[in-house]
Amino acid sequence: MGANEPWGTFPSVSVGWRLNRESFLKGATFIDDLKLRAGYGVTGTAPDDLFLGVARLGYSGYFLVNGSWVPSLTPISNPNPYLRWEEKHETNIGLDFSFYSGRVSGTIDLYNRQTNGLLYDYPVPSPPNLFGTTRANVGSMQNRGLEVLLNLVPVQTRSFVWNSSVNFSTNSNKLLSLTNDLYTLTNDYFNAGYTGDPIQTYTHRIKVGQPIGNFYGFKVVDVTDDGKWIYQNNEGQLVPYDKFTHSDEDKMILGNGLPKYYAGWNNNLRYKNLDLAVTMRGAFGYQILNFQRMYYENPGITQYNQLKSAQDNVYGKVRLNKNVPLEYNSYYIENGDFWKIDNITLGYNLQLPKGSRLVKNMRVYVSTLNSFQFSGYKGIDPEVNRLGLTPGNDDRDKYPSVRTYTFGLNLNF
Amino acid sequence: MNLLNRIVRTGLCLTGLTVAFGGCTKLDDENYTQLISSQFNPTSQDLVALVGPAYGTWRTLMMGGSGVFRSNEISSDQTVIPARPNGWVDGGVYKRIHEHKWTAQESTSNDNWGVAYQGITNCNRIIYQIESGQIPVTQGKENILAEIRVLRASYYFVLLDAFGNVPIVTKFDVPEGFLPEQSTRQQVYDFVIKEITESLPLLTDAVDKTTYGRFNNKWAAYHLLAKTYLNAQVYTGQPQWEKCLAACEAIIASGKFQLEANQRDLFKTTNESSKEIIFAIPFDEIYATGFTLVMETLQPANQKTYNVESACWGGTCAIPQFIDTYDPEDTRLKENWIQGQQYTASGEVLLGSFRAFNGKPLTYINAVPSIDSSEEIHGYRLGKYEFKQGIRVNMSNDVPLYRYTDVLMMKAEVLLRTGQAAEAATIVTQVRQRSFKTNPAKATVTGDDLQKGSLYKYGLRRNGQVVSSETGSDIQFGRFLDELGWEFAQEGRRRQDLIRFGVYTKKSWFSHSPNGDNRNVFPIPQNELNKNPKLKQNPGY
Repeated sequence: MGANEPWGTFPSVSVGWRLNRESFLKGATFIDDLKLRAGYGVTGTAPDDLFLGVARLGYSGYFLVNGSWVPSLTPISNPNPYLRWEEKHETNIGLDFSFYSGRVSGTIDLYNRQTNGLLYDYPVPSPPNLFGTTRANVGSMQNRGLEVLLNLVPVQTRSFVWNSSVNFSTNSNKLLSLTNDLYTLTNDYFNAGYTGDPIQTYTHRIKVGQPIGNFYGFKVVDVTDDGKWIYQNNEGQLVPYDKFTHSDEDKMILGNGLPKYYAGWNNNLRYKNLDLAVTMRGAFGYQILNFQRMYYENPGITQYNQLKSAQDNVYGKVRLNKNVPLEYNSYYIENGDFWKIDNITLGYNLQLPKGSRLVKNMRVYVSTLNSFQFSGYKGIDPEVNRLGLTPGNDDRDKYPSVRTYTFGLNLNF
Repeated sequence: MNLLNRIVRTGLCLTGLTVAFGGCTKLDDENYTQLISSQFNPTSQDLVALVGPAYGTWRTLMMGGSGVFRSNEISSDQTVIPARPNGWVDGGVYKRIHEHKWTAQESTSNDNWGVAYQGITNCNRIIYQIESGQIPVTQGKENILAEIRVLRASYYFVLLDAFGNVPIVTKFDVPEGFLPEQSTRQQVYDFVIKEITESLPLLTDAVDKTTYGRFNNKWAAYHLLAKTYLNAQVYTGQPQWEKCLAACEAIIASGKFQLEANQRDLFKTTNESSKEIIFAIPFDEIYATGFTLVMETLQPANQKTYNVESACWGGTCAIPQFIDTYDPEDTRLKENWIQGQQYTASGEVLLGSFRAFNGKPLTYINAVPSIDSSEEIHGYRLGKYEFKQGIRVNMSNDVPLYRYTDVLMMKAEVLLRTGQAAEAATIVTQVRQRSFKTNPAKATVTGDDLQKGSLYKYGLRRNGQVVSSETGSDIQFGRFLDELGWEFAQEGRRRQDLIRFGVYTKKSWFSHSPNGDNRNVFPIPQNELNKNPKLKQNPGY
């Protein structure tokens, strides 16, 4: 990366304790395996691009000299010689277990992860910087959570087997700091995400002491009789549309795009030659900013597409006033909780005549993907992008998720 | 370190991983697509390539979506971007600019800060590289440094005009974590004057291909100097009419420039040979893109008029009250504003494509219902720059930022303001003559004329109705302001003129009502305030 210190040290250590081999558990014969383990480790993430540590020049644009166009050499980024690896320090305690000859098994993990030197295009003043942002190691973040995985075999007979697996996880994160020796912001926050034209504002605020993923905007709670928003300001007062200043100070946290809990339940059943697999998953305790509704649920905009729901009454009272422009506010933030039955596959292994030489194996199956969805979310799919600093934005122009039906035949020759 | 190395090496040998280790020590990487500044040893031949980016910034600064052109035009009384059937609401940004309700988060005013400082920092960088010997300049070192200092002053002038109190940074090798101090508007003004006057003796007298679009010649520098002095009263409270006059006289005395016989020739697609241009920002449909006025003003249907590369998405148009001030025989009315029935390149009647005018003749009329709604026929469109047949999204017309007419008109304004109205009128008449060829008598104005108020019928308008009436007749030298308006419409400077004549925050037009004198400067961008605690917001924001 061309920086002063391109090196990183990433040690790790872990210990395990096989409890089932201890004398006090000798008698418990139902235990196949029981291991308590603890570990600490550091892992690193290098900056995505090379040479960010030094001043770089690239050809960009042309310049008219003596009547002819000459390519010009331009700096590409603000150099940051102090750039180094982002470091993730993780401590975890876990338990691996297996009982009754593997009929019950699983793992439980508790972790505490602190990421230091977060890599980010940090806002820097211009002047004196050429560019408004510099890639730098600024800030640290904490992630704490619990992960549980449980594998069960509830039924296991010669003709009928049922394998089931349940997983559950929860995570909480917090931004601990946003400074280092060189970089300090006047504010302990920065904004991220973008609504795009024509609303033209940010969607998230990342603030020290708070979790990543907070939606930050105007909070609406009601409508006036003529269909204009009534807002709640930061003092908790209700302000009608025409009196509301729509300034940055009027914005507040409207929700968070990162789920508090994830869960999944997968099942494989086999009865004689018939097999059935069902996978299910869900995420809970989070919000989504529904861009489709934000853009298309406005009865006044006739030159673009309009959702049918644009004609619905807002808060069950009146239709939105045609003169209210598109806006990013809490009306378009919805709970994203969902439970999905994703994949269902039903298969049958055909019994082939004993003498069949050509075909050794034959299986027919029907399968669906994205089969059923249980959610109060009004958009197409509540499973939206949760990566990065702007989780929970359900983009307007995405390719809709599809439900797939497959009918298949497997042949082994 | 050595010992540690040996231990590690031995350990790895034992585990049979020496090969991997050998690989790990060679972490040096080659950069094939970019140049590492420290490994690049430029020769004086590379100088041009290195100076280029410092100039290129002017293109974005002037004609970028939020550039000087738009922030000066649509916040003033000549042009407006109303809501169109094809868009142009964009979160109300154009409406807020028109109504002077912009905030410190508004990109239309904010972007100029970042872009101008990008130009300034590039200038600082090049000055640093030349002074430190990183770029070896064998001859003309002082001259190139003088050129870049004037170029830098041209960027500071934009900041001086738009924001007022901005930090002055002249060094590139600043200490780590350096946060620039804010200067007063007076200090920024003094700095701009100092930089130009100190550099002037080192600039060339020549006007040719080597000086085109550059500040390496005296005349572009004098023009910038004159412009700064002309607005000195706004910037510092202290007028500098005589100094402005002296700078104008220097350009006039050079005898190197002359008025185009036809004003429209100055704005042709290939206008770089015009004798009227003192400093232009060169644009090119391929090499230097970013001038897209044809797209921004014309309706989609007009694609067939000029065989435009793709359908226009326009909205920007004239404010009807301004069009009403023109003399009908002023050829600039016809030549600068696209109006009336529109035709295809082969002469067929063009039809509209939206709402009530879908399938009806597309005829631009001098009426706009309101900032909140309009149809495609509403408002004359900006046609001062030639749209050639087969024009691309990016236009090749150079933008004549400084032109000889402006020098003459600056001189006339100074004369008018210093009690020599008759002499001023002679110059104004001279400028008008090319626009009144059909009726030359009308070109003549008198000193008395110029001392009258403006013909502009100010006040609010909605749906063609007069909501409120304000006169322009009480504007001192208002008639001269009108002359500036007719000659320099669509050139991205109306805001500056309106401020100098005390109109910008005092009169109402179309949907705009005065919203406080603090609107004479834009707010310092909020995100810059967040990053540099030494900056203070301008009053009232």
